[in-house]
Amino acid sequence: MTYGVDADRELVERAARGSREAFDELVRRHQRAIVSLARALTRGSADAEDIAQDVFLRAWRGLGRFRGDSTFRTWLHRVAVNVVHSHTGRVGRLRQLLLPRSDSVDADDPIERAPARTDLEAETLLRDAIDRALATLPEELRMAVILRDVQGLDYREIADVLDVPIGTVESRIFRGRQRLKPLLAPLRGGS
Amino acid sequence: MEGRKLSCDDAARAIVRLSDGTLDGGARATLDAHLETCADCRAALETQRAVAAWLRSRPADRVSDQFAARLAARLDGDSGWLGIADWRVWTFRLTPVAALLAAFVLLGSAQSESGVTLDEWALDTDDTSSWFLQTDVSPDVSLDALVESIVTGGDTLGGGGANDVGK
Repeated sequence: MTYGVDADRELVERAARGSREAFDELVRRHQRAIVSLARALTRGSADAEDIAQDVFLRAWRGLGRFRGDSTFRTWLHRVAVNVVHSHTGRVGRLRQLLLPRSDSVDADDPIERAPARTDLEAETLLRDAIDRALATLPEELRMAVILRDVQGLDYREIADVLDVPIGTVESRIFRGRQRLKPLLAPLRGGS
Repeated sequence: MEGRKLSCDDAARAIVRLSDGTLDGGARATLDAHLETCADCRAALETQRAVAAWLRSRPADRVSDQFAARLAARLDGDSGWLGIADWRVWTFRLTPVAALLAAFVLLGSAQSESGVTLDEWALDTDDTSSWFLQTDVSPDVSLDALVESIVTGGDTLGGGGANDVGK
């Protein structure tokens, strides 16, 4: 599969030759998207930045295996999905051991229902509410919807990240959005 | 594509594309024909558009000011002992060393081809340090003669050894 112009190509080539300066610039370009992805995929986890750091660390170590078959952004998202997957697997197993019943979604959570006092709080509450709604989806639907509607990847990129056909991506996004409507509509005053 | 009737399952994938504005012309006409007769799919299209818009309005995440500095520290640490296993160390950072070794090999090869050995090159100079390059000790020199030569400092080896240089 070939891609068009990769805006990161020159930086990636320099970073692959060992330039930390070039890699730092790549981090600056993508850190927000990767933190956002980590947070959305882990239901707003406080570990999102740590996960994002692991993503960049793994990317730095694995840059030599990046052949440019996809854009750097797509490749980085694939690394992120793998890191999040192993992280949630680890945390999930720990929760099962330590907190067997702590992970249920509580619709009456006082934090969600409390009035927002500042724009920042309102933003945080809205983001948390969306992340909680996303967290109710099965993983394969959640991944596809987040990559499309939160991260803004196109269908081909998502197919590449998840290693599934484009038709499967379309189908997962359709089903994911349908399931989200009753959860998100109240947030937006819809029915 | 146009004229083919869609099932609702087939329409679902096209509805996703239409809600994103990425459905091409022929497929759009086929879907439009289906939507005219299917209220469920029309409702699904509205749902897809609404949910996509809500998700896209998710406030952007903030990245802490310390993120870059913390990552830089981890990357620096990674370039330490663990960095020894880093392929870049071996492929790029050692390039000057490899180039130097290659130059030595080429130099030696070129001199051999020109018939000038390192010994001969050294003997052409007055630099006494070149004596250390002398290796043309006669093969029939006994160990005893060699020891005596070292003890007395005399020329007991014969065969034009290193001490011939000063004669």
